[in-house]
Amino acid sequence: MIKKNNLAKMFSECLSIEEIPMLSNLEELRGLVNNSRLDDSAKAKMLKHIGHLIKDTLQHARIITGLIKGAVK
Amino acid sequence: MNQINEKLIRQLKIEKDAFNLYNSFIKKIDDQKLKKSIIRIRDDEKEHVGIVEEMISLVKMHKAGIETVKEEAKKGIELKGFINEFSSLFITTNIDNYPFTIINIIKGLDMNCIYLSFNKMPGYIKKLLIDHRLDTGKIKFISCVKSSGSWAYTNPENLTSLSVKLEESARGMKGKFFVLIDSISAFSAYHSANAILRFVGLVNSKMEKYGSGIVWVAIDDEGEKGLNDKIGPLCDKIIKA
Repeated sequence: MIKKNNLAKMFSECLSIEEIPMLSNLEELRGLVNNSRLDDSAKAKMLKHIGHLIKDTLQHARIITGLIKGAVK
Repeated sequence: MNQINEKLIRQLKIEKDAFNLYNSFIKKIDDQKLKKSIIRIRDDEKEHVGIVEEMISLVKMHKAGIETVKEEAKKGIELKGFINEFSSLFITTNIDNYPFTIINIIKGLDMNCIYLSFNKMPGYIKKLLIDHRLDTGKIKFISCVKSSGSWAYTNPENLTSLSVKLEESARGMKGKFFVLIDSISAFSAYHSANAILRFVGLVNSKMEKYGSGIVWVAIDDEGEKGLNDKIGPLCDKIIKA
């Protein structure tokens, strides 16, 4: 089983994936959909999905940041 | 391939990678409370895979509309005068804007850089920079997280060794360069506000001595406001990205 001092490293990898590729790709996707010629209903549906994913990703980043703080104490 | 399709396929891969990463960690964790938190996130990632697949199908049905009109270029961060007129810069950014803030700083300054990654693995930021066609050959990474890669490691718990490592790296730099701290907000997991403030003051004066500049990136969050309000006055310029 994982040692406590390795938890911070493990959570850092989780934070890296959430805050870097996940968020940047979603934000770029949102920009592209906003500027697309998709019809209004399809665009609204896409933006709703993307908004949901961004909200969850930010929430995950917050939870993991808290877990890192807990792990290093 | 259309840009939207490209981003969706990439998103699907990231979500699947995240799901697999959390899944592998769950097996290694003893603590039931921690396990529960990670299971919750893992389950979200599973749901996200389904959502992205649904978006891919939606886009397939609307093939004619997925071309995008040219987006107006986003304004970068105003960095004019850095090093020549001011050498320490404090930049606050929202988490959702954070990756683009990093890209804009590196793109905007376009010089050699010492990049300190405090709580994230440099491999991820390096890949993001490459995806945005930035020259990572100009960047020397220092990581406070042990990981595979060719970057130097320094213990996040020891601010003295961290400042020594920064100074050693500064001595090895050629030409004009700057130090990028990503992020000072993460320091609070290990250090008191007073220790962080002392560190910021010390490193600012050291980097000035080398004729270089330093950029402190902080997350603009309610929980970080107290620390951000104290770091800002220690720097020559404050920017809200």
